[in-house]
Amino acid sequence: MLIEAFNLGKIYPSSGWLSPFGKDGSGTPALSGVDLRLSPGTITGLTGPNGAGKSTLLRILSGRLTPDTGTIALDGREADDAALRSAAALAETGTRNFYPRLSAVDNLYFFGALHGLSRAEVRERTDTLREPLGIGRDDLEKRVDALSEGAAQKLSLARALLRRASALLLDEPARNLDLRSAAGFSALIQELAAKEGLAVLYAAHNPEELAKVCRRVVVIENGKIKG
Amino acid sequence: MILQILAFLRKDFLIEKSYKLSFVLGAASTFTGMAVFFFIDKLFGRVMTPYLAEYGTGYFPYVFTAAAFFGYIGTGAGSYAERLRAEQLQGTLEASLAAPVSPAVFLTALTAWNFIFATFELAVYALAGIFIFKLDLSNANVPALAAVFFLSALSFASLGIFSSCFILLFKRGNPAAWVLNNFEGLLGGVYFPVAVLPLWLQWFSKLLPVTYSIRALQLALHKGAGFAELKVELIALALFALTLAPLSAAAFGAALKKSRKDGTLGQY
Repeated sequence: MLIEAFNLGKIYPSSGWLSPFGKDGSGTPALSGVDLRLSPGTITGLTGPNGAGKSTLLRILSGRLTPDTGTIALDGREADDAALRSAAALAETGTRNFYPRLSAVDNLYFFGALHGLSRAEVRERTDTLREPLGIGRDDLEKRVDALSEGAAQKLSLARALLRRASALLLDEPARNLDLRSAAGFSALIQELAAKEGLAVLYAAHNPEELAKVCRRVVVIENGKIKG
Repeated sequence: MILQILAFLRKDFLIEKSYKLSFVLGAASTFTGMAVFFFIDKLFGRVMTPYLAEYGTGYFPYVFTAAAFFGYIGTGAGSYAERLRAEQLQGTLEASLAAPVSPAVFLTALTAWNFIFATFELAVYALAGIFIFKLDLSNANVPALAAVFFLSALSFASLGIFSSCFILLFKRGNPAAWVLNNFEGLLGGVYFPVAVLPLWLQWFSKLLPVTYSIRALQLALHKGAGFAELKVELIALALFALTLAPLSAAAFGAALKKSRKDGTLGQY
């Protein structure tokens, strides 16, 4: 699926006590005039310093955050947040968005079901993702609060890949991964992009990591795309 | 939709199961709470008799059934905000809402486990009332009671959804829950009939749906009152439900939209 963003802008409201009513100052600019095109079957890199707007851009493209200005089109048709949430899967870093008292596999069953996947479909998809992501069978049975940072990161990637979204948005996907798992993951997303026509946006700080997997790399600074 | 609600139910059951002592201690505290009222009735029950004449029952049957009922409909009032807050603290709120789940399905799924658990607790209450505390519920008018339950649950669920809007927007500090927790029990006739209150507070109690719920429950349960006798209470509850349900749904949708706009769904 072709994803095109035009003139995206975002200002986070300030955190004063009246901010829920939108009456508390001018806020913090995060994105301004961002145009971006993600083509099917390609992996686009996104890099920039801390606070440049990478995560904000990913969250907007995934439909989790509503932009203040601009539009996003899916295959040429303007899309709202709900359409973006259906089309794009976001993989974020860390365990703080899983149920800590459930096992890894029960978390996958839960989030899979929210996307309409049966337990059998989740199990089948997990089996195919387990090896390239380097997820141990025993890790799947562990409670999330007992997983290492690396294992939790793999679980986050598995959740994003579970539902075969048209676009994959990755926020520092190789963080906490060992070299072998990082290589396996890179190979997997290259394969998915080539075979399934996945449009991938890969955000990372490390230029070498991006050079290995991305056809082109976009630089973002102070909320604006450079060059 | 069904798959999503079942997924929430299974997840909440597994989480509840992982806290092994929680259920047992919860049941035990319910029982001891009732025992306290049982002995208060022994001491002071007669003082209440004149106020309870219109319900045709004594203090203990009154407070036992009112507390059990209030516990059930209180699930509607309290569980939305409580569950939403838990999802916020775990960081799973935004991840769950990133799925194609409508606000209505999300709200239903979020509290489905609480309602099932509350129904189970209510059944335990009823069995304990009949077999341990020897309550006589043989006069109960079941169709009228069903209508009172339905309208009360809908009104209180709507109040609960309003309450969850504050959680979405402010995270902590929930004035709706504060009012529900502090005034509904005090002014609504749960622990004593409203007639005990000074006149000006009795007037204030008429603004609360719980007042009509408890009165209708007591009359239907102990005196066998039917739809005709409960006309005023049922109409009041229907008006609360019909007003609050669409308003609360719209408020939740607006709060969700605002949170997505501000990027605060993942904050706690």
